[in-house]
Amino acid sequence: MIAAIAALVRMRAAAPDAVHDGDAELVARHRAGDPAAFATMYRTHVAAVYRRLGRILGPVAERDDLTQDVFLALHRALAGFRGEARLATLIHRIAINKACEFLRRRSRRPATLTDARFFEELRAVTGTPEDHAIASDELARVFACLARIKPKKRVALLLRIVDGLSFEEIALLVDATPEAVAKRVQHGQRELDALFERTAGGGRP
Amino acid sequence: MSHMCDGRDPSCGRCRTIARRHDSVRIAMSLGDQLDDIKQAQIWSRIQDRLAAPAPPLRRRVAVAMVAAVAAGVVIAVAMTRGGGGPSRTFVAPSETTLSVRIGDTQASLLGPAQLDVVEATPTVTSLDLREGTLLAEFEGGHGRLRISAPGATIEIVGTLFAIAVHGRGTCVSVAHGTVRMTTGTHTLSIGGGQRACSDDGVPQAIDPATHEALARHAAVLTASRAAAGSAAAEAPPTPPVAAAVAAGPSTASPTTEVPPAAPATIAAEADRATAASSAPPATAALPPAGQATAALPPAGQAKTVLPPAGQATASSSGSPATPVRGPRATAAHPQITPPSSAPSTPGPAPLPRANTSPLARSAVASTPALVPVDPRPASVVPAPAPAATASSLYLEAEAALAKRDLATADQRLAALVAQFPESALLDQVLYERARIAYRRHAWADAQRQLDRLSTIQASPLREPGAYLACRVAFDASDRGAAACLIGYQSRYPQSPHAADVMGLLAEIGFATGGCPAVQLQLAELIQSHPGAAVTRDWQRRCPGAR
Repeated sequence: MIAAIAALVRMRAAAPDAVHDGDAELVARHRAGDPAAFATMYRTHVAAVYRRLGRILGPVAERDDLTQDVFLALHRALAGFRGEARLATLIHRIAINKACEFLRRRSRRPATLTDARFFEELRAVTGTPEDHAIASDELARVFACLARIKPKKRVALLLRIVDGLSFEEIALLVDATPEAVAKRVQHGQRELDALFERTAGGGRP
Repeated sequence: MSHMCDGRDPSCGRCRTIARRHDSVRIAMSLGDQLDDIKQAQIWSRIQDRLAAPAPPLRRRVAVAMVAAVAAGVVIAVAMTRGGGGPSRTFVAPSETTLSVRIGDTQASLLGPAQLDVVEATPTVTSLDLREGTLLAEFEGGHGRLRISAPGATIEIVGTLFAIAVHGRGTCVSVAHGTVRMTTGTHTLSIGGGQRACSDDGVPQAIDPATHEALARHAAVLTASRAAAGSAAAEAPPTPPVAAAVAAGPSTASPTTEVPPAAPATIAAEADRATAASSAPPATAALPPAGQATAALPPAGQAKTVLPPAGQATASSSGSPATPVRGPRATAAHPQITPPSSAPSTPGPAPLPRANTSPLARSAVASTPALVPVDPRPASVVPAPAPAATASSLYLEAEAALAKRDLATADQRLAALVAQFPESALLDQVLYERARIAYRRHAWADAQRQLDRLSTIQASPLREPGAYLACRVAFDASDRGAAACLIGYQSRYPQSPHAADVMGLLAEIGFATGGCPAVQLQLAELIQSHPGAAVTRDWQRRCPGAR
């Protein structure tokens, strides 16, 4: 059994660019009309897309719909995909665009308490009631502060803070120069600091 | 500032503060970011539906966009002309368009071409007029009674999932669960779960498969959106009584059509003038270029609903929910609807505040008011059937039980679903869910049985997660075939989302026989292909020499 596993590992190790080649092959199969290719893309990337949306938007209920929109947009985009970037990069770009669109749309309508309540739900399973109350307040505060930051700055800042991406990596995903990204992160950080300080005593952001 | 304080330099005091804030942000934005397999499959099903719908040619797209713009203009005009104080609002769904409408506790989809007038929306009665088209809706009963007028019939709903289709001068009502009372010019009849009746023949028949499917999908869409919001919806602040979302292309009953960016239009509905919110201003919402919009109207007064809880409802109808309750009520084609607090004319327990909104409770509540004869001829009186469980209602009950971590009840409901509806479209989800429940109970054989059956459903998007779960079952049960199962899974699903976990499990099997030296190659592959994964970090800690 161990020998079988080792053989499998050796077979895989012989193809260092397997992932990238796999992208090209998948796209080619998709263009040739193989429906399983798009299903494979979905299976491979859906969890990451969902996570990416969550890390930009928080646990909002619309994530399911947005995830669906991302893959529908991917389906349309694959016709013009020439393989300059990895498939994952393309998908994450689409996801970030969808998240920005959602944030812009949401900024035009009044905020609801649903998101903060959802945080409470998520935090409710652990800790003492006091811990829970403090944690819920803190999470609601984070969410309220982030809601005040403009989408482009918010996205750059969160990609930096939550995912720990470099300016260059963020630039690739948001289609901007690293310098522009650095500025967005810096401004976003400054705004977040100010909002945190303003809400330190329980005030509104 | 000599450096940018983004929390990455621990020697700077300000940076330490920022780092703490960043931790808070990181925690907040990483909460609940795991996508479970059921949700993954649901999203995939919706994508498949959208992709299966043929893209309309450009000319048709332009025409649809223009029709949508014109319809929106008509709605604005209606709203403006009635802005002075009339109580009515009109929702128009143009051809090939689905208009999602929320009116009080009713979540509805209007399949175009269709027109729906909101005649009245008060805390106790919501009154609608379906002029044409099809309405799919779920009504939870929170705003008291829902009454819908349609050609040839008046339909009264207490709490149910139903569809109303207007054809010519007649109307057909299909009920998924709960009970609906339909009054035509000659008779009144109760339509129970799984039944369909039309105003022209008046005899309940079995619901047709297409409508059943459309209702199941409508319920699934509602369930999915509710599940995402958790039980927060139940505690949410008062929501607007009337809201609408326009989507070009049917979204629930039939495949949805992609819509091109249309010229920005505006959909407006008149402000709700419910008694408790008469000062609320009119609301409008812009229709964005993507062809989707939402419009929310200010809230009507929220009244305490007085519906008996499930257990009491059965008792109040003399021990039999199917027994007709005859009362000296409506005798006209458009009967006077009495508010729930004064409705019961037969003796029974005093109305109590509503206990829950589960489908089970809704079915029981709906079974109480059964029949009001208006035609003296006995032949025209059809006794109310007992509300039958449907596949979707059983699934909803199982989901509710799972949310309460009541595995036994959930499994029981799912087992009933499989037994009663072996051809249900929900079958693969049910089998997978039952396997997960068995896995959580360490009932390995039972889990494997469910998964074996799941693997025979060729088109299911849950086959891959099912195959992974089967390997997990084998691994956790210390089955000798676990490694073979995992290797087989890898070859069948080379780019699966569980790839890292599968490699981790294979490494675990190797580790058990020879420790870290025995798994060097596997770990090398794991590190190379999944460098940031939690399982990789875990193995790097366990076998520090791994590269």
